[in-house]
Amino acid sequence: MSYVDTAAATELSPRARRRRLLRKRFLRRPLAVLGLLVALAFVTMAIFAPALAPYDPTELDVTAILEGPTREHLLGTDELGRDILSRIVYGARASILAGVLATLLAMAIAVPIGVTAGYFRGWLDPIVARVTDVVLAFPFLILAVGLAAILGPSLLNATIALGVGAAPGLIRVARGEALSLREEDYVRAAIANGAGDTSIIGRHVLPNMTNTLIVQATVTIPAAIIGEAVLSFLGLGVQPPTPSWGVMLSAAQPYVNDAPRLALVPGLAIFFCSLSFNLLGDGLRDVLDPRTTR
Amino acid sequence: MGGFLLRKVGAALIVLFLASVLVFVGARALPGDPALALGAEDRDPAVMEAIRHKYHLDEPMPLQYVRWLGLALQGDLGTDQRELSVAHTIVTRIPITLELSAFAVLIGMVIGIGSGVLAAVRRGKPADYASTTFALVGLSIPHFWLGIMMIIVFAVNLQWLPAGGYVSFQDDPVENIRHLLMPAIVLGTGLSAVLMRQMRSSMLTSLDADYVRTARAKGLSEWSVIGKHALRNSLITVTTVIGLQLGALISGAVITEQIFGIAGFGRLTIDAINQRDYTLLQGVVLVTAVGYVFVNLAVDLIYSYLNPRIRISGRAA
Amino acid sequence: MPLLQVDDLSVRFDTDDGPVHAVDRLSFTLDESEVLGVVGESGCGKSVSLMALTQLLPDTAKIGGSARIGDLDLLSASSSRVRKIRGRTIAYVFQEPMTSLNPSLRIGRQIEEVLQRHLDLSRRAARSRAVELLELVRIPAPQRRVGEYPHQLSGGMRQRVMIAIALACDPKILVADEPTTALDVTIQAGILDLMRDIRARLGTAIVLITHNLGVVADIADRVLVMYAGRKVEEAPVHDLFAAPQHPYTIGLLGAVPRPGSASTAGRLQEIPGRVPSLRELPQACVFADRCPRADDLTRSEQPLLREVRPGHLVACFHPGGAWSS
Repeated sequence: MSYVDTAAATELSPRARRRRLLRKRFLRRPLAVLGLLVALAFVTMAIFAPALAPYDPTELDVTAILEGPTREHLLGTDELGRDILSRIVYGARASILAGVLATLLAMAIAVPIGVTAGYFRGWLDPIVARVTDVVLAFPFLILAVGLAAILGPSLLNATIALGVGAAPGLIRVARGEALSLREEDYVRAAIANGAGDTSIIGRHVLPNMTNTLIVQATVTIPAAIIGEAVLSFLGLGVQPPTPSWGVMLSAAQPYVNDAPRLALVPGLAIFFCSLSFNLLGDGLRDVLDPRTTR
Repeated sequence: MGGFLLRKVGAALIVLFLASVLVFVGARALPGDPALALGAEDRDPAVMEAIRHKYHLDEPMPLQYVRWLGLALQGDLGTDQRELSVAHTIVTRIPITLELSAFAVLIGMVIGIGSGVLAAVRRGKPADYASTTFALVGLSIPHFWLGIMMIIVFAVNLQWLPAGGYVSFQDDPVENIRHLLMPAIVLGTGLSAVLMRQMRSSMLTSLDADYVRTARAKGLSEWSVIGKHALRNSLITVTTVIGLQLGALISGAVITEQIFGIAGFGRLTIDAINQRDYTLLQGVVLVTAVGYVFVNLAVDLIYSYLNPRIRISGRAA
Repeated sequence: MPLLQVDDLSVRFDTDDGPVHAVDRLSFTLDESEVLGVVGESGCGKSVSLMALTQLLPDTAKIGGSARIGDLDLLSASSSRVRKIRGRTIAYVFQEPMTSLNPSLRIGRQIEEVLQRHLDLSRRAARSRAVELLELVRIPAPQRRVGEYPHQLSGGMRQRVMIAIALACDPKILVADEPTTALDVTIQAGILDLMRDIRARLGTAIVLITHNLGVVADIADRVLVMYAGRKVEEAPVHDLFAAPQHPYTIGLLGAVPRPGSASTAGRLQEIPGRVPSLRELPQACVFADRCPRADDLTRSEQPLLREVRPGHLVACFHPGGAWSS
């Protein structure tokens, strides 16, 4: 009677135990925790922008152009009299959205294709390998720029372009993982026991890839954030008057002499946002690596 | 070794061929009517028809592609909007970008490899933390912003270096370096950050290896042990990383040239996109792909040469 | 005058979780051309003690005692002085031939390095000496091998190259740390043969570290048995095998299957229990909790080494006899 119960009980606790262990290891790394907190802060900024920003980011005030920091405008105003702080807060939306969604899109494309190619091999694998090679013949940003140009400038298109641009690299990783995992002894044992392909992929291949995929995601997000900034900087992403850190940087260029603040602030935002995800990613990589001891 | 070489080159050529198709299709997918961009501002249907015929735009796509590829292989990439030879423009601009890139790679490698080795040898000490922090910063900083900041500090405020422009080496070597210094540093930062981390990780593995214990047991000086034994193996591993980073370098050159006002090849890409100049764009992106594929091929071959296991047997052990 | 005189060698590692006493007051001597076998299970401190002699241990190791060669004390000498000894007077051969050679340097270069460093030979002279050395260790076609990379050689050949490197400067002492453990049994015999040959031809003293009693019986003159960082028995090889005194040695010998002997009639003799933790130095016999002869005396006092027969030392309050008496 308690046969089933004890089986269920012992199945839950190893997983819960592991999760607690991982959490403890993570908390022992102050830099990683800092990265997580700052990243969360940016995400919160993006989600609650309307509540957090003191002004409407597109509201012009031609009487207060290029003002320094004052009590009404904590970071000053830009060349069209808009409050910089509000524009930064709203700008987080573009960056976080692009960064996270592009990465998710890239994963959604790359994992199915990569795992299928790596696991089943056959005729699909060489094709996937060749196509990935071809697409990877173009540097990531060039590809993204090209795609964004084709699709037309908008935040959504920039996100798609970044996601598609990041996909080939991830396909390579996913394929590599699937290829090596299928040679593992426990997979062979499962096959010998008559398990079907779907069940093997679901229970053995994918779960053992999650660590690598998580780490890859945390590396791709900052690249996508910077990518969005670049695209907006070039006029291929977010269109004015919608705020985006990249657009702000581009607009700041003529005023470099008079108001360097215009260029400093959005750049710092991009820097800290990207840095926080990098710290988080580094920490996660360390925590998930069975070889590190603490 | 010969067969190995042939296979690698062959694979690269196939990739390039397919890439050229992608470039062609991509350029055609850009919004806007090429005929308009090519000079029919008045939208007179008869003029548009004539222009379409002149540029073969009325022919079926595959035929256009073959025509384009055929000419490209002969070195003729067509003429751009201003009736200038695309090939010529590219050829005059490439050396500038190559010089900038070479400078950037040099800086990136020196700083990256140097700090990586330092961090590994002085693990856990202040030098390690400093280098690791520097690498993290270098990875996270948007380099186009770094460029703008450096211009503000060094060109506008301190007035030590010029804010942009290019002077060729033949004309004035000192000015040449002065103009390229900031862009090269900006471009090389990302590379140095990645290299530093790779180098550190690779050196830590090497320094832990049995053959380093053997080297110490031989009574060799610590310099010899680090420099001749550990470093040698680590550098080989790092070669592959350099190859992967070159793509980022090429993309970076595009923006860096934009910011520093350098009339190089990278800048051409932006101009072509903004002006919807399809012929120019096709040519530029094709050349970029060709360059990138061949540089990767070169790095791949260099790595095969350096790694004795591959060099001897012609394939990975 | 012995070639090497080690007195009260102690090695303590200061780790994050506290100190680990790897070696506790070890003393021994080594004469010229002598082969000393150092026996014990993994973790008993045999490798650590020999590596401590030439400062090959990481910085976390705190070393005490003295180790004299001639009138030089290796343990208190400067690191540059010791570096001159390493590879020249005392040379090492390690356990893992697969990974102990640098994969990206040619064999010849790895041998020549030692020659150039210690003997200041020119490139040419070093090259021809390297070929000679490869001949000495019986590697066929040495002229060709000299230009090859480690991955082109088999495990046995790589170990021979390691021996060639160790012998390059004609060292007085060769320390071989488990030289045959990672090799096939048939290759093992070849390596041991080679070592015997080296001792006969060159007069090199050899310290052979191993957990394999068969190897010891094959080539050692004298044997030193270590347990948990301490020396528990030392004797000429025949004496040790004919009349082992310490219960641990007796247990070890009993655990070796010997075809045709009485002990194969029943089970192999096991030594119950596990090696004690090296974190404390108990004031007791270190083998007490596994020993069938343990009593209040052995649990409260540490037995010192005594000579029970000529040349035969043992640290035990109840030496001699069979396993359980």
